[in-house]
Amino acid sequence: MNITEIAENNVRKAEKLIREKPVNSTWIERIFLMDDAWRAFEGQPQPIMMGNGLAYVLSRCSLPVDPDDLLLGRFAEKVPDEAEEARFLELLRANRLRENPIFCYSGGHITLDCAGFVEKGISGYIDMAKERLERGGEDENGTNFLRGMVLTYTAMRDYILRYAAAAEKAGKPDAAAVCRNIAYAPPQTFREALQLLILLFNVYMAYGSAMVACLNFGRIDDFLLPLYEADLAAGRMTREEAGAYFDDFSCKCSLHLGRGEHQMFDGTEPKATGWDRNPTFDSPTYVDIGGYSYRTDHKSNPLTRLFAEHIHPKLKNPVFITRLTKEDDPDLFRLLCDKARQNATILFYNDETELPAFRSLGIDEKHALDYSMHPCNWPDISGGSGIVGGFGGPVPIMLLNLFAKRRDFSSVDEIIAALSEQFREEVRAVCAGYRARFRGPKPASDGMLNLNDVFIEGTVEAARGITNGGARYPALYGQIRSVATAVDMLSSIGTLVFDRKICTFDELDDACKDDFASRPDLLAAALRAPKYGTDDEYADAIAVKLMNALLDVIDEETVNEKGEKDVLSLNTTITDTWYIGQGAGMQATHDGRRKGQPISENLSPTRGVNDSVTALLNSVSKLPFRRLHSGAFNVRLRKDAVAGEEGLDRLCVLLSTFFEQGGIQAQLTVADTAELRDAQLHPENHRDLTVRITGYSAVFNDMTRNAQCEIIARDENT
Amino acid sequence: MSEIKEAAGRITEIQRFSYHDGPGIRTTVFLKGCPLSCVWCHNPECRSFEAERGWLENRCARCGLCVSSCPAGALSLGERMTVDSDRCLSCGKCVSLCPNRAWKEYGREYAVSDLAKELKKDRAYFEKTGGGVTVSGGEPLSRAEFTRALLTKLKEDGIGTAVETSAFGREEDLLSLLPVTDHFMIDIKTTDDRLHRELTGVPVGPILHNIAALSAKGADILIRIPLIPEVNGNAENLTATAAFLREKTKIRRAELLRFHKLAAFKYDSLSLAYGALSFRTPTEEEMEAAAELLRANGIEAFYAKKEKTV
Repeated sequence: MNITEIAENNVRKAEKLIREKPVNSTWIERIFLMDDAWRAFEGQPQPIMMGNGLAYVLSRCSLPVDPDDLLLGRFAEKVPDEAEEARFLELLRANRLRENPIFCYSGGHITLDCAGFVEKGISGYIDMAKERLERGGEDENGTNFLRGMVLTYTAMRDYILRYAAAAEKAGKPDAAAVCRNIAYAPPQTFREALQLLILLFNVYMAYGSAMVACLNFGRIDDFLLPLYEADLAAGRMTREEAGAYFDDFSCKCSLHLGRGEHQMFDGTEPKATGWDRNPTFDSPTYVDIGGYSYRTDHKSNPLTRLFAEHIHPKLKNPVFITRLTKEDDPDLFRLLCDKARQNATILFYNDETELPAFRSLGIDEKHALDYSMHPCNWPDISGGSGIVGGFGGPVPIMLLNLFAKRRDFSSVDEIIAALSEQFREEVRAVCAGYRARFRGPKPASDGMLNLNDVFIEGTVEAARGITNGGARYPALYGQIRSVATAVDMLSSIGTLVFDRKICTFDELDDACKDDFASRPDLLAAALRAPKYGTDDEYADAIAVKLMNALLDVIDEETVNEKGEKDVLSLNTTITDTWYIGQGAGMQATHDGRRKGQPISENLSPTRGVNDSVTALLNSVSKLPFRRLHSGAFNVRLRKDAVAGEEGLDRLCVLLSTFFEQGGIQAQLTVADTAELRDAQLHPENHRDLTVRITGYSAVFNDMTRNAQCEIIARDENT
Repeated sequence: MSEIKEAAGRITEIQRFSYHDGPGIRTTVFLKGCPLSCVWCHNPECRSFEAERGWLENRCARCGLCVSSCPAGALSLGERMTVDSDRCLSCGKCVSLCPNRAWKEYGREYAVSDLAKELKKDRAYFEKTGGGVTVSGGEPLSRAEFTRALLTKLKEDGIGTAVETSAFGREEDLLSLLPVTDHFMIDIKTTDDRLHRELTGVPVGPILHNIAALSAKGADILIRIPLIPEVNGNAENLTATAAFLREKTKIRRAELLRFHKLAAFKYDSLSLAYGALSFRTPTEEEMEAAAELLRANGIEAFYAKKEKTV
């Protein structure tokens, strides 16, 4: 087999693995090693424990090498034997598996500075941390932080060296040489860079983390381009070989996946797929491709095209954050749409709305251009940011809280104004706390080192973690969630109470409290009021007004007295799948949503009001996305709508028009309702069926029945 | 048809992102009312000229609120909902009271300008795909004045237009649409008058005459033949249809439409009997054989393949 065939074969094996991995399979070696390390170093200062603990695990773990590996980086996984299972279950019960030991805590959910990592290499980080440690000037906590960093980087370097030896032993001298090179110097080739990234990923995913510690590698087509072009120019590598390495990179991003779906599990069914036995669940791994750049000419970046060609729809990872610009090559866009209609995990983002939003934060242009998303669709700034808090939440709940305090409204505008003031109190308090932490004198070191801190710009120099003032851009999430339900509540109130006057506000509000039991007439009328997502001018105008009002508050509260932006709020409409649980605990709402029903999901309209996909896209594109930093928009299309060349044309037009009209994001699931129902009855016929959850994908057959039903209940947007 | 009130813009439904009714991405507006009563009709909700309500079984919670609130006592709910159409006052109370949106109303009236505004919302998609608005039925010729006014308005606004018609109506009405219509789609079920009357309730003569007249004026016409093996799938009928097109028109293309029974639930929802239960969906081989036969008779025939996959 040539290298391309080997890579393709590896992809097929990975596709099979994520569908057929034994459900009891888990990382028993890693789990036990971590537990041993915890016991071994208990009592040491946390950063030292982290460095020593990681070194303990990484120097003892087995280093599997498959004869077909183009890139190294596997970890041991197996179905535990009886004794192992007993200890495993004991750890599970004691939460020592799930709650990652504090000495090595990482929640992931971050876009690391992989560009910096590739530029400096692990050796560069070791030198940088040592130099900073020698320079001193820190108290004991700060010094321990830096010592922990040196130990951590060194543990990673030694892991790379161990892999070199393992590869040599396994008869793979070229792979061994690659590892040796990157242990002592920054990567000099495309392959070396991918190898370095995968081993970093392994340290995070397999050894250093738990709790769905998902990562984004950042703009790999952008920062890897110089190495790629140099390899091609020097005749060291062909385009096909680069594609093969990227295929293997994609495989390695998938090996850790537990089967099943973690977010939508509601505890009602036996967990048949075993994701919960797996320290990182079924966590997504993101890469960014496309988009405006200060490093490369985005219009003709050959790596964007190469990576797009090597998107494998049946692999859940990597998730492709695909940044679009109005200058993109139409052929590339068509290729991406073709992959998306095969249910590849592509999340389209629109640079034309995202860049104005990120630039408005007052950050460096370079960092604005390097905006990113970490799982699941949460906004980020590649390598420069970390989340330190947030405000806001589901707007329907904010409205209910308002109505609990006040009911004397005379217009929808008045409600929005009152809601804004209520929101302002919260935003103001959070911003005050932020300023105290990040805008005053340099804070004392808290003596804590998080694995997320080690590849973020600025933390070494500051000798502080992200949440301790070490990141250049500590960020808050400004959350404006479940917009559709909120808009529909206001639309219904506006229509029934203020326009048609068929009831008073109190009557409608009371009706909600008893789930419309005594007022079915108001329920029927509420259900028929204009709805967001149907291209209805009245409802859409409310949506725009509501969002702008809340965003105005954020804008006003995140500047200081001099008018300078001093609080970084990344504004998002992401709901993840929390809309289900939040709805379950909520009373009926004024839009006719019954008690316990889900509130609206991400940017989607209220369920069941779907008119057509074009009406939906028109409606959604009216929202003020140039002020929002992320949002997920699930669109489910029938196969028939996008079948054949004409169908692909249609899909391209749907998406390009949506983005031209100002849409922020779109992620497709192409599956008919009938097909999904058939998959419940005959899973054996639908093994490859993959559906979008929120910012990641799931194999439909591996989801619980309730979660499957939730996907089916999402409207078919045609 | 004298009882049909002209210029009444009664609409069954507006369907956006429509891609089977003419080129590109389209918005199809289904008018309410059709003088034909094809036994296999896929859109029974478009047949009556009156406003109607359809009951959606999968949404109904069987609470009985509509039944007890109906002022005419026209509703009864057993295993299914039945509407006594003689009693129904068309007051719409069942629709407006239902807490589950289980009643769908067909037959909202629109002024031309309001309807045109609604239909233009997908202009951006039309422009990129050569799409536009398709006026379908019901039967547009039964609302010729309204259809003409609507198409004129759309044309003035630069929107592409198409008309889907049975061609059953007055010749001058059909020809009057020509200046404002880019594409016509016309069904020919059979050219046999006896069979046509049996299947649709109306003679075929006026239809064939109108098609010939429209073709003579140079209209862009796509002939569509709904293929039902037991009814019109025989060689004699297809050969005769091809002969008519060759001899009386300039049309040399035809699309075969595969008969299916997906509309059966709509009959249930309207408390109507479905007359096509005994008919069979043509196989791929039958579709191809019919297409071959037409081709052998000088008509370039095509049809959508069954298993369209991405």
